[in-house]
Amino acid sequence: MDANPDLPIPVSLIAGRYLLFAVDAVTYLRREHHICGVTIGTLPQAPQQNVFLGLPLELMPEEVRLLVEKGLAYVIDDAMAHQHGLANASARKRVHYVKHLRDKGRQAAISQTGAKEHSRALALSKARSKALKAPTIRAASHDESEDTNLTDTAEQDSLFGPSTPSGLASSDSLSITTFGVTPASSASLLTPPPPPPAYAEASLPAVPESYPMFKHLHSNGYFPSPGLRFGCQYMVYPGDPLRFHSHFLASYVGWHQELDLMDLVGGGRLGTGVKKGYLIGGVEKKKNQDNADMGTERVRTFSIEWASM
Amino acid sequence: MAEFDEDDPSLAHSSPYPNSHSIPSHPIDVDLSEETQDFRFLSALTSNTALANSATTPSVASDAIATSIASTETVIPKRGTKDFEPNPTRSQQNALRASRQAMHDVLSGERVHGSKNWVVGYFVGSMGGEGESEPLGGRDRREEGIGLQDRDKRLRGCVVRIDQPRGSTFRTMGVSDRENRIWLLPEEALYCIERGSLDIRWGLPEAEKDDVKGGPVTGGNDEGSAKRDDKYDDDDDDDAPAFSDLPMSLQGAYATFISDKDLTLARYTVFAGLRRLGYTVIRAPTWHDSCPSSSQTWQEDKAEDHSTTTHARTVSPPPASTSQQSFFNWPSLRTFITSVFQLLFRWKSPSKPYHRHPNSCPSLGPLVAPGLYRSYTDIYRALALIPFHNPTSKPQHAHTAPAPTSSPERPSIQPQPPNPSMTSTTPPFRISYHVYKPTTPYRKTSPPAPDFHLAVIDAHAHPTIPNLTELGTLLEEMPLHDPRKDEKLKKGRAEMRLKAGTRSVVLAVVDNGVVSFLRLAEMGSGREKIYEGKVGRGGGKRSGRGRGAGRGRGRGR
Amino acid sequence: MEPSDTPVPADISNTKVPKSKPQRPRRPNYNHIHKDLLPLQVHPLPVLIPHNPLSLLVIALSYLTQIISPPPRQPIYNAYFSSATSSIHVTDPTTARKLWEMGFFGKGSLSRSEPTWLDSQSKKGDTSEELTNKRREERRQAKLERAQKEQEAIEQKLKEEAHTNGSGLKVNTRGLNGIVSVMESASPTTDGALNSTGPIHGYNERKGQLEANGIPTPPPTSTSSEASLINNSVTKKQLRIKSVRFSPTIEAREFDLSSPIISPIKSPGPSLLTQQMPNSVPLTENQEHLQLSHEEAFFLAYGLGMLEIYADDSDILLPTSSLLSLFRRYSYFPPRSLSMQAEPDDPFMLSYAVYHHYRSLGWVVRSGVKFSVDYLLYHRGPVFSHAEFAVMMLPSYSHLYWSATEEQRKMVQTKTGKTWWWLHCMNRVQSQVKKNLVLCYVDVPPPLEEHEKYVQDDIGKLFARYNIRDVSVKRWIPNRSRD
Repeated sequence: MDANPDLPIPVSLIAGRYLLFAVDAVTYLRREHHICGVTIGTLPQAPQQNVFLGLPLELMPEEVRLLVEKGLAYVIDDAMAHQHGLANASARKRVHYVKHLRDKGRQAAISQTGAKEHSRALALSKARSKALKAPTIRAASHDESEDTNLTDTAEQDSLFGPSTPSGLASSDSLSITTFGVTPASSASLLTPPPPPPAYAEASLPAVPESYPMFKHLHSNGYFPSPGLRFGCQYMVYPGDPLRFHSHFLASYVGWHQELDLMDLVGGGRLGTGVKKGYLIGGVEKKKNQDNADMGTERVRTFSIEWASM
Repeated sequence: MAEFDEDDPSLAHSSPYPNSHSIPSHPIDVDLSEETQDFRFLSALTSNTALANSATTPSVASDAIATSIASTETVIPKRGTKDFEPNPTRSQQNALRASRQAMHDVLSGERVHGSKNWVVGYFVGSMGGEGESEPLGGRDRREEGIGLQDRDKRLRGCVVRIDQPRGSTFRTMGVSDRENRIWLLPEEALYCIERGSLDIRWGLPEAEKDDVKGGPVTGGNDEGSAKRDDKYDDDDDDDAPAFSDLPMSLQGAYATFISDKDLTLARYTVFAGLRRLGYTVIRAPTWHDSCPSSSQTWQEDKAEDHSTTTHARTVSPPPASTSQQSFFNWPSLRTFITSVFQLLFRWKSPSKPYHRHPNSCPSLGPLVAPGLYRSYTDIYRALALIPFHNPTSKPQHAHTAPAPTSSPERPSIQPQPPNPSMTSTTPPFRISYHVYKPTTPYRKTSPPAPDFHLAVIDAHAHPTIPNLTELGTLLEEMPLHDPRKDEKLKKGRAEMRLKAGTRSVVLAVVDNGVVSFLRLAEMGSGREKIYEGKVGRGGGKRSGRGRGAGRGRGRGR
Repeated sequence: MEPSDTPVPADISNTKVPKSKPQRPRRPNYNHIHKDLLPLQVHPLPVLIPHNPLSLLVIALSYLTQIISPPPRQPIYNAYFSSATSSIHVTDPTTARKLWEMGFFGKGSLSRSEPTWLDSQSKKGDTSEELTNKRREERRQAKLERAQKEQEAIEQKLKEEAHTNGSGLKVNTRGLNGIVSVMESASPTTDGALNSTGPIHGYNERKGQLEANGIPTPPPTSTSSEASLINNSVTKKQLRIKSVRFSPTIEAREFDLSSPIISPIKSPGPSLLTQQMPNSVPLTENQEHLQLSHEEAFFLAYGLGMLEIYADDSDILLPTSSLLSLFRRYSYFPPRSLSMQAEPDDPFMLSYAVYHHYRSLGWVVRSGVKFSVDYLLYHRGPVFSHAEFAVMMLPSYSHLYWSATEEQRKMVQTKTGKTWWWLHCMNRVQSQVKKNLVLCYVDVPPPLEEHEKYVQDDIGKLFARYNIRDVSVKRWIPNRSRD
């Protein structure tokens, strides 16, 4: 986990959305810069649920802009990058890529067999303790670790469900069928385009008008996160969302925008109903006496609590 | 004296009708996917089933995990595991570190394909231009390039071809061709590769053999193929893997299949989320913005009442003066005699036009003329004034009558000229997907009527909720389910019928990767006359007939 | 089952609490009290039992009785419009009671809803408002205690960890190192912070600075009144462990319910009804009046014709057409002057259309401001059950007139541009209190054209130009919709 990626981190821009496919980058940004994003990918380990999701990580435009402004990341047009990369993929590169994946596949096969053996050993010890009561031939022959007995596979069946006996039975430590691998990122095949030089004016991602409030909250140590489900623009966490509940439900309001009082009532009820604070924030526009709209801009935030509960 | 304090939390959990036993209240569902959960719970699950750090055949894994995840609700406590706020204790730091490590480990999980279930698919499209998969009348370059013999319309838009499909994953997705190959749409292909069920290669195997355009970057791009030829002249070019040997990475898959015209990331996120839970998700005919909006093709209740509802009336001109009300009131006596006859002969009177009382004065008030009233039904009938939308009448098409309304009086001022664009749905308020429940048997050859119609909306691209025109036209395309004709609902309370609604649609709103579903249903409150259930001596909430034969509908009419 | 009913005030002796036992008071017979659905008397004939020929005779007899001695006409009640409060006041207690009982109209100015102030003055037990206050106070206390306990638990843990660290009770920077690095990772290391008075080191420093900048600590461990005190009392000493200290004095704003706002006593105009004196003459003067909203008052006056409204403290009776104009102007704040033209989307027109629509269907319609919606719909009334529907009125400008010019389109956009976040907020609030959110679209007609100007004086025709369409909103949860 402590392998820090090279900075600046390339962020994939695909059809207007920002995605990250490198797990090291994801962990690094979360830990060091409290940028969390939203995992949107199916987990191969548990593909039939929505509670835990994996790569890719979708970043808000606000998050990407913040990172770009700090020089921590840069944006690449991934469709173009792949197109060019594939067109220019030299033979050597391709050979290297396939070999790399083959090695990975081999490793995965070994580790899985190892894991299966480990579980098998566990099962054996359990069976042994059972067999102490009723010793059979089966129990005796289980001392060999490389048993390909049918009863052995039957035991495996009970542990792993209907497994594929042929594939496993024929596998031993010498001739392991290599697994295929689908890598998460294309880094092993394509080199991403380089970041723009420092002197070039970076084109910043377009962000909604709430960006100043986002930045303000982030700079004060909070972890803002998309808040649509909870009826707000950002859910604001005091720490990593893995370990903390959100404290605020934040919405941005323009400084001179007319507010409906009912919205304040609703927001207050919303927050207090789930033990969170309803927060509204905006960029204060101080008017100078001489010139309108000239003056320091700072973000002000206010929290509202429903007092009647 | 003590009315219900709506805010009393203890009352919030009791049923609004203490004497009823059959009405389920809507629980505030604790949806675990709403907040980030600690990945250590998932690690515990995976290690229990001996799948740590590797993935076996996904079907085996998923079965095992599915049963575990189904009881995840009990495994992950609903509250109490998280801390309130950061504090300097070491125990908190350790927990945080462990949690982050667990997340890192899970996210690093490699997508591997075991020997038995290794399914390979070939990318048939071309990059940069994925969006233009609209049905074309003429030749499709891609199909030519891959030598497809039959111009199967169903294959338009498909991007991956699987020559030797295996497993049950493809039962509810993809299109089969004559040679028993499966062709996948971009969302299906992306979903399969993401869950580890599919190994997609960048090019077609036959492409290299015949040197026909079939690589991912050719598609007519001569420059590309020339370059490729050059590369073949490199050293080791005989061993150089062809595109059909290069597995696509997940990143490559996203870059290839997600486009902002066809399969947007929002649409894919919704698709994948529902698929993971077992739903069957199929593209709707109105997938593309340019497709005409579907007319009513679903079976509709033929027994539609085109007649207006019982609230319809004709206007009788208001009298010049309000005369003193005499008791021997003609309408009153008439209604009395009519009701007696009806009671005796149990006629159910068809809805007759309501004749407004001569002393009722809608122009200046009061609507309810002074006089003697036998029941509140008459009073309520006299109060009808505001036109409302009638959901059961057939939707109008352009250049005909305006939107169906039920007017209590035929208004002399008709403010609604027909709006020609009123009948076609506007993006993004169009149906993207037809969704079937996991329990619904889905057959590709003859799909049943969808359980849900889904429209996908990107909250940042379209931040405002639909206006009445957009919502109305969208709802009008939905099949009609009249709750008054439903066996269970027609005997129940009016509130249940109103909540069910006549036409409904599901909106999936996506905000930076977070999906929220809303069901919008046409309520049609004007059709449920609540007073009919309340009129009667001693009040009492009666649903249905009530005692005797004389109350409710029989009376007063 | 008498055929004639004289208007009798409700028997309030039902509601007196039995003195001896501290059990729940006997619930009044709401079915009887609220048997009338609207403030109009109906005189139903006895029920016809088909197989009993005698019943026909009974009916005929009662019918004849009604001819011979007809029941009195519908009474007309009085109220007055108060421009100070922009609402309609009903000061006569009998009228107030009637309006509340027959259809749940109005709100007691000194009560939560039903005008019970006078009774509460004489009652020994607690009013429902006081009960609610007690409950809130208890919850606040409980929250305080829980927060205190949590804080103590954290302190305890810190002490233990420091102990195992071997550096004694005082937590010094060495012990904080491991923590600090994580904390620093949580706070920016660059100069993005607006409050950079130096490098942020130490957890409490950061917290102190947070509070100094006006970012409030969230309420869950404290109530709002506490929060302000806590912020002020946090010191910035580096080695303090406690960051939240609870002030011994709780500052709270309590409203003294026993000192009411004096409302004008004058009851305007002659009353047609010969009042029957209430059974128990209260010693204290009833300082409460019944407050009607514009929509309720207009419904009673225009729809039912049983309310006459006078202007402020005068004897000037406002005819219904003037009422409409008055309410239209007062639906803005500050109220519009008479010279300004009436517009089809005046807030009163839209809100009244919705009010009238649901009332005419039989719903009891009351204000939903406590739940940030426009109206709550009750099947029978607030004493019988919770409201199941929460109605939000949304104007709709679908007529071509409203999209004719760019200016019109912009105006429409400002008036109708509700976002998805707003909708989710509304929906969430309603589902927290077990209500269904209903979006009630009111289609706004274009302004009257020249040849239609006469319609302006015809209230019925005016309202008949609107159109109502309601849509219910509910969260759809894939996990629960699988079967």
